[in-house]
Amino acid sequence: MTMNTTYTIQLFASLKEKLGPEITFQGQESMTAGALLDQFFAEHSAFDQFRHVSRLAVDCAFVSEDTQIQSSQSLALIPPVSGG
Amino acid sequence: MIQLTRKPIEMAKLDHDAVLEDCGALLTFSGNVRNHHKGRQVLKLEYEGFEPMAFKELESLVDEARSRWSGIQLIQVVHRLGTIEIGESSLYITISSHHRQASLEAMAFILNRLKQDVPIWKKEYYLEGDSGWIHPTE
Repeated sequence: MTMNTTYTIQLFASLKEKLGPEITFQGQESMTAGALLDQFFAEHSAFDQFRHVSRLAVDCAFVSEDTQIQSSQSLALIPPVSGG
Repeated sequence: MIQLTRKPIEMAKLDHDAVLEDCGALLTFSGNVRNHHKGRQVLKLEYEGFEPMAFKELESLVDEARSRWSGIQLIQVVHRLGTIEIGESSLYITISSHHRQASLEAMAFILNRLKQDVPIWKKEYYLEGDSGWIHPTE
């Protein structure tokens, strides 16, 4: 498995506070949203509890975990929200 | 009308604009900053949003509400961001409709979905000097 593509993900709230406003990491050329989330949380195990309650947004819209992601897209990790 | 703002919400103006001659129901909701959470004294809140997406999600919620309930003539949703003091409104919604049932049901729908899908987060500052982001997992 080659890790030859750089993905950049925007972070918010507690993740942003600990890791900064965005994070980059190396991944496969084409990944699903689920695989990307798996890799992110594997590398940041302090946030394990958010793995199955977080969603990925691509170009400001939620995507399902089987959606194919391109590194050129605008990616954001959305942990459970608390507006209102 | 959707707005994300760092200034105090102008509730009187929203109330005024929500009065429409063909609407017999005007429902307003204010989400206010509370001074306690899970037994701890809260001093203030800070809200952060992924603003372009939060705006789009709110627009989508309002569009869906208007398509699901007939007779809704106006929905206004204003959410504060930044630091907000105890007692201030962080969220203000008005729904104007021909009859009450549409407003009542649409308000519950918007509030429930907002708390699931709109990327805005709050951080609580406690009396003891610590603070924490709120990420509900249930």
